Amino acid sequence: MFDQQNRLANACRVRPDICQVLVAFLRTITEFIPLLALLLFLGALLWARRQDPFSRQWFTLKVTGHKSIPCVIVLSKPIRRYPVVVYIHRSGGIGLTDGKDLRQMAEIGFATVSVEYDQTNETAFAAEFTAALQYLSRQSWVNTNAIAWVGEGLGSDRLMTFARHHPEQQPQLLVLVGGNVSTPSSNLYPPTLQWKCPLLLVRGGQDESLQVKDVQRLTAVLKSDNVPVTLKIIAGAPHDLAPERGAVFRGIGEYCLTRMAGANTWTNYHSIARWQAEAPPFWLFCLPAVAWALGHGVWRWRRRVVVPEKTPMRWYEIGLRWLAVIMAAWALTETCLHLIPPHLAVSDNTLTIARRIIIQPKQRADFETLAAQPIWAEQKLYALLEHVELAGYNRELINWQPDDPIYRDFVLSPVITGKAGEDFAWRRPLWEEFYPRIRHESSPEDAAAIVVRHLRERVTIAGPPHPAREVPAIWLQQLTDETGFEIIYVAALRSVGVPARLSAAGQAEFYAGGQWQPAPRPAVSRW
Amino acid sequence: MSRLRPMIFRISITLVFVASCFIVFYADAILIPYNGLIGSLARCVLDVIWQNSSEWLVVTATISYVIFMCFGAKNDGVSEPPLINPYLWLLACLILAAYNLLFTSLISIQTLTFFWCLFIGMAISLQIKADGEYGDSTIMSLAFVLLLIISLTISTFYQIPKWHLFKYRGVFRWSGPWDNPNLFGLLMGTGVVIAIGVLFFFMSNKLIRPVFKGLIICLFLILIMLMWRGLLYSLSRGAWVATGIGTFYLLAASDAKNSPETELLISSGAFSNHLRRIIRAHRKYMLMEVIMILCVGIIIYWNMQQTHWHPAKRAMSLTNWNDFSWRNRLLACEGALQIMAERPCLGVGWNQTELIYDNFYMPGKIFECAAITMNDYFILGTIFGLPALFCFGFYIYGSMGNTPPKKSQSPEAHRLSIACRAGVIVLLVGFWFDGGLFKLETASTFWILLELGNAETRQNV
Repeated sequence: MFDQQNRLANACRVRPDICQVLVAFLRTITEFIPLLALLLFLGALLWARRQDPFSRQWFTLKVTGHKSIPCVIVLSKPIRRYPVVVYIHRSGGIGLTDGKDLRQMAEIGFATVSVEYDQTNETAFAAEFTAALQYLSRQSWVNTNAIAWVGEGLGSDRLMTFARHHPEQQPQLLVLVGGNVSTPSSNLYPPTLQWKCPLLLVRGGQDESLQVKDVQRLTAVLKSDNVPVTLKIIAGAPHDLAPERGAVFRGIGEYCLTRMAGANTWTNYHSIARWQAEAPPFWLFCLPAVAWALGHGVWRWRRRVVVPEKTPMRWYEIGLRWLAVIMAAWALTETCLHLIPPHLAVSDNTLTIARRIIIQPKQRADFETLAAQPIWAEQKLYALLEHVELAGYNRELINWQPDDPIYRDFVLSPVITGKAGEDFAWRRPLWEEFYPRIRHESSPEDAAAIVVRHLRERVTIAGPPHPAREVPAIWLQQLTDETGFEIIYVAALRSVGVPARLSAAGQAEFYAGGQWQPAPRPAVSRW
Repeated sequence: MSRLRPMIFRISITLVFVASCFIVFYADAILIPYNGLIGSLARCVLDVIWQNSSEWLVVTATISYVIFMCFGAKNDGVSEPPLINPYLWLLACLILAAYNLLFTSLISIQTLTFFWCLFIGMAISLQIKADGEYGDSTIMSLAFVLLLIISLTISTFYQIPKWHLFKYRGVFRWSGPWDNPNLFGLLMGTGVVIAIGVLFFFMSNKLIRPVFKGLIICLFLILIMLMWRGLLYSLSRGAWVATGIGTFYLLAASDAKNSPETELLISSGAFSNHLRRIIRAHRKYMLMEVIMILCVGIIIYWNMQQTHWHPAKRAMSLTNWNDFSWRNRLLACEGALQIMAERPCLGVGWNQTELIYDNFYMPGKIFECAAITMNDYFILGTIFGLPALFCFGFYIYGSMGNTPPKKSQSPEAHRLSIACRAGVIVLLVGFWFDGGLFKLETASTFWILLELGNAETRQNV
């Protein structure tokens, strides 16, 4: 770098003005702090990109005779050949607000595409949508044999009309969320004879714009006309499906994938949680900056001015050094005593250290209760400490207080199934995920409803060949069966301080109002 | 009469500027709307500042100012290579910002605040330059700085808990007349550091009599204590860190000034030179000092986990793994980096960052997207793209650390310049943790102080 500068300086003789500027500029940016900051920033940028489970592409489609339409594509990594979901939003929607729905479906393994359209001009839709389909057919990552259209509200009406008028372009699956397609005056009724694609109708149970019985009647008519149609009513959800939207779109993704990819759908499922867990650590990306800092340090050290004579130290200098040594030893000892024992296996010695140094007085009773359980053989001490500290900390924050015996057995205790070799390392990831969502709730009932909703947004209930049954594995794979879901449900409830256990039938139940009761069920279980 | 007229002109211009800054500084304060005349005035100012139709006017005016600073203003005969001129980087950044504005359909307070505050900073810079034509511009700079210190001290008396929205473990966080304790803390930190700097300025001034000097010292110590109290009870960790760094810079720069062996170095006013000098001066005991400070910190940390004093508890929470406040900001930083990585050239445009982050980048584990607005540098990078962010970085670095040496600067002007720069450093660090570049109070303070620091070092006094 410095040679480069010298060369540039020599070149300045030829072109003094430009070279002078370049040399000065180069000197500025190759100073220690700017270059260090630049390397750190670029490292962080690369790390963030590598950590990102999605790739997004924004583009504008030119439509002949109409104005251009912006589109956005969300692809889950690694980039491969995907089944595709084309999503058309409801009235008033814009592409920028479709991201959450697109990501929910992309998580399942789809390439999801949101296409803007002229919401005031129905006739323009055919041209706009055709342009989008043509664009997709040219992309190498599109599996043209597995395309689903998902429309919501006005989008579903437009899709329905388009599918009726263009039967040759009908997708493998058409999903209609809300909309007026089920009213007798809509374009769907009666269906065209050339209708061939299966239909999934999704409706909120409390949809104020349409009665559920009307939709059910329409479904019956369609079935009688040999149209393969499935109706899903989301209990208690309004027209816009809030607050179950996330779970519904995950459910739609699961439904589409199961119908389009066949029986082995879930065998190779790779969750985004696993993608992020497998991403390289941040420090790897900091290596260039560290190398620059070290190199600069070595260069400065080699160029230091060597003092020829050593002056003898005065008494206060010696005293100061001794003081520094004593304080360093003290600080080091304290730090080691706090940080090393948690990484050792649970034993009498480590438990004693924990009791005396690590555990705070207010947590001692919980610690003794948990340490007395015969479940910690070959477990690290930090697993035990994490349950004690986090459960205790959470108990201070939440707005309901279970009795001590209930708290210790059904909140503090990490034992859910009681099977040998049960993995207890679940409290922190679940607490970090769920606590921020329930922190303003005042009762365990409300908290449980929120927990199950968000849990369903993150975890697919399906029938994989070897379903995970340990909580950390389920959380990482984001995939399990009904039994596994109940197990992680109990863990999630306990992580936020709601006393919970598995009932005799294997269903999650929680303690509220002085009695055990079945925990709220997810709005979308398994489609 | 011939000498009086320019003097009257200077004073009236200064008064107009000071009044404008004062109004802008307090215009968005939470208490203002409830007060009669001042409230109406503040509302008028806000209406003017945040009026959508004034957007291109202020953008054009700001860019014109910067162009003039780039090419029009001559700095005491020191010719700088064009790429080292910080205003050139600022101009490039603003052109990218204006280009982005062309494609933004939604005009927002964010856009207007950014340009208005920059406009004020540039106007003051030019005014000081013009003032320098008549003689000493230090008085005007001092007037601005003193006004800021007094305003901030007055702000500490506005503590009405019922208007405060932020609590930490059941305790109200001081917000002053504003609605955000982090903003209040940052301003208090800036005030503390500037006040210390101005105190040094007065202490080193040989023209002031010892009796007055003593009075000024007492007065400033009281002001510093009041603002320090506000800073402490704002419970803003970002402001604490920023104040610490700003104070370190101030002490390092001021201490280095006393050493004759590096008089030449310090006269350049370069940030990196100051650091080098302080390291040289303390080299003998530096290692021990660092070790002992670290050890004391570690020992206090392990033994004060059970403290009930809220500021200490708040400081400890920096290492609390269960604290979502800083962890959400880290996750938001990751999201912002992802946005920049996918939209590196021109960013996502004005007002889009929060929306795009919420919909396309926010990790599932967090459900409030506001954390992304906390780091102004990432906001700049996501709005304008990486080139504009780098331009902004070079502008700041050029303004703070790469100023060419000037031999004609008086020691007093230099000390005032250091005080302003220390205040700028507090704000720069605060912008990383809590934001402020798009808020009226902090942004106006930032640009004014940056230009005052710059003007002082560049001015031929």
